[in-house]
Amino acid sequence: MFFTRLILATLLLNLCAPLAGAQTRGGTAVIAVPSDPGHLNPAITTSAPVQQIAASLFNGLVSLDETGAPQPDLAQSWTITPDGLRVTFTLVPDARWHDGQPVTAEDVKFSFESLLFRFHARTRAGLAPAVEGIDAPDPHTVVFRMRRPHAPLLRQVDVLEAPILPRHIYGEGDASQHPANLRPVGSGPFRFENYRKDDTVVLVRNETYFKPALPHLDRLVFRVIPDANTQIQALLAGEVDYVVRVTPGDVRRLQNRGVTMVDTRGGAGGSNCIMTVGFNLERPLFADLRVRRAIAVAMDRQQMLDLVLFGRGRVAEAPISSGIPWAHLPGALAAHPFDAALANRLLDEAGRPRGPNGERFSIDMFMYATFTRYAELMRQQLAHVGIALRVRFVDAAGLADAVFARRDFDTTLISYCNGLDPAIGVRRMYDSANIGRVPFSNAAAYRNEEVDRLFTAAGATVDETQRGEQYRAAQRILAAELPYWWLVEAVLTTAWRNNFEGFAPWSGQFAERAQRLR
Amino acid sequence: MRRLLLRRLLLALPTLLVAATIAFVLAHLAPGSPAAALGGDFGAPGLVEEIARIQGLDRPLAVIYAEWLLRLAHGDLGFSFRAQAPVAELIRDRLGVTLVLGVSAILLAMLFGIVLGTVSATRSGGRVAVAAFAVLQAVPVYLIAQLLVLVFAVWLGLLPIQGLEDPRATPLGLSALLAERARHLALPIVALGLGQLGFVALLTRARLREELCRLYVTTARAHGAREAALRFRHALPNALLPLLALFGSRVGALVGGALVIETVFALPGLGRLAVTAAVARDQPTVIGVVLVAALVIVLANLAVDVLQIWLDPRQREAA
Repeated sequence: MFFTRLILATLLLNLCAPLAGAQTRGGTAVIAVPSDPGHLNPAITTSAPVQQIAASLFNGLVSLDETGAPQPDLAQSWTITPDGLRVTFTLVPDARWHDGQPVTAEDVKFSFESLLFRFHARTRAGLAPAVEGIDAPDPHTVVFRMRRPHAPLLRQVDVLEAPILPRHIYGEGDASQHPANLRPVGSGPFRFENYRKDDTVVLVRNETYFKPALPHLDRLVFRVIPDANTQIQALLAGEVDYVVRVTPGDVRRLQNRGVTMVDTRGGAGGSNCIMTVGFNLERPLFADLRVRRAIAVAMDRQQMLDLVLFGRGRVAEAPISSGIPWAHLPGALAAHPFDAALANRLLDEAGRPRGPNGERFSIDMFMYATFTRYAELMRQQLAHVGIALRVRFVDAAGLADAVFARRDFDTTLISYCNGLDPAIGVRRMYDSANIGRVPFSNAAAYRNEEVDRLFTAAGATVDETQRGEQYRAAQRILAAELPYWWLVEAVLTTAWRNNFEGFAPWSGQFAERAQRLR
Repeated sequence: MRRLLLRRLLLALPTLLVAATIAFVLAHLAPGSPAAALGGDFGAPGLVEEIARIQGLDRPLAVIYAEWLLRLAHGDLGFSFRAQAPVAELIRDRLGVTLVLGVSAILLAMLFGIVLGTVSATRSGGRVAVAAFAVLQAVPVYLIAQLLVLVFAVWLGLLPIQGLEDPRATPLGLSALLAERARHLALPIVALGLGQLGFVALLTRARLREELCRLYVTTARAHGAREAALRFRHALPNALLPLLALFGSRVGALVGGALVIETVFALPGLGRLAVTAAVARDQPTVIGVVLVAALVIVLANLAVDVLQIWLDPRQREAA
């Protein structure tokens, strides 16, 4: 159902373009973003507010279409040797930086070695360990020498995972405080014009973009509007044209109001996200599988889908998102259906009887304040089986501190984004090497040698069928051991006014092909 | 008078230093570090540690404090991790919006509050007015703002919903720009001012009624002074003096209200700066904003004291 809608929306978009007749040029699109980016260097952070804006200024080696398949971007073609150890990218010959200098293989080498492998968390963790070295034998050829075959490579070199920056600008000085972070020079469809902090970022059309006739829009104005309600009002009144993220509750407000809404599984900041409860396995209470399973089956996830997401998404069926169909294991969690009676029985067996007030024990749960509706439902559902849930609202820095640095928590609720490949966003949750100080990784402190081995093997295998088998084997173990409990797969709803078309909200360069209708 | 001013200004310095030090300690006690926020929404082995080292965050807190104090002594508020710019520059860019917002709201609240309070003190329908003022004062500023937006921007379409100007407009001349800004700031100012207006009106009314029962009013009335003169010339100035003193203490509330208003209307002001900085654990910026807010409150109270002395002949002579 959900998939059908997604595909339908995509089809409609594709059909609209030729039907609209001659392509139109010009116009300004005002994009509402919820947070100020701070700076505009997408290579030194995975912060979504930075990437949302800065991706339109840059290119990756490849771009990813709505199915996640790689398409040419700065690289017009690529070849992989049969052993998977050498990947050669051929760059487009005529790409230029916004200051007129040509884009060369040296820029690519520099971007990976000096910026991405150091400061971009996903690329540093997910790609760097697999790369032995990067060569630039001529100005338009880049060769990745791999330590081992690395299947997800092509999904890790788009503009969100690996933007390419000019060496002659960012090569000197400290990249993390470089003046160009506030006046970026890229190669992308739009050029930087100005940035007023907490207010607007203005980008203008790159007249010499290497993709002919693109982009269509003259200007892209990002307006920082922190209040979600204000964003919706401004969209309806025509003050803004595009809202990056519409909450499920607001979707109904926008229906039949001259607005196009498209559900995607991601965009800047991560895709294929699953709301996940993590158990702190270092606490004796959660070392008992019966307790973890009791909490899992005490939760009515269908109710969460209906009441929190208003049906936009799906109940998680497996530890790996259904958005990665070749690795997903349908029905993996079928052995743990919602069953309060079973939860009570398991807790009795585990020696956690109800006290005089009907309560068995109380646990805390750390989460962002934006998850408050999940918290309310979980509190009710767990109270039914005698577990008192004490919700602790924290911000990102507080979560990183309590859960990952100090490990002083019972449970946590985190939206884990799987990315387009399990090697990007799934492995970090289970890898025993990640226990402790790496934020937003293995919250549970899960440790299983077989799972470690399967994830390592799957990352180093090229054949997708074989990789799928390895990931499915890992999911069978995870579903039996329940270091986490996977709640729902959320979708991201993006909305824009009907006088625009061609936005690609699943991509970093969401406005590259957008145009204003006359 | 001049000596008093000088003494108060000198006293303000240790006050500010204490405020800044408390802000420093609180900002660094908050769990989490700016390095994690800079890294983004994902983690990688060693990444946070590397960022912390580059930014000098791995040094002992005492060293950071000493360095900060030394810079402060030179008038340097430090460098923002998040915005990659001097804190002083960040504050300077936003001070204008917040000052216009705050000062206009105060003026609006004072002007209409005193007039409405005075009128309601003498009319028979006072109870209704009191109820209305009390509601205005009690309703959260967030709700007032949303209601105003709904009526004037969404339903009537008279005023814009958010921002300082229309980003699609071509560059404007000075007068047109000012008019555009005024149009955009009208709702935020009214929303921020209304709550304070309720407070001023209630206080004016209560003080005026109290004053009207005083002996000197009775005496003046016995001398045949007209009722209007009694109220406006004799009672009102006396009633307003304590109000002035109280208003100095309301500046703090106004700063808090400005934060909410800037968020609802998406205005680039100091309140927003403080919130984004706090979320990113951008300690230098948080401390800088606290310092500026403390300075504003100290100066506002000083101004109120001076004004009071200047207005009150008894205190004027004593000084």
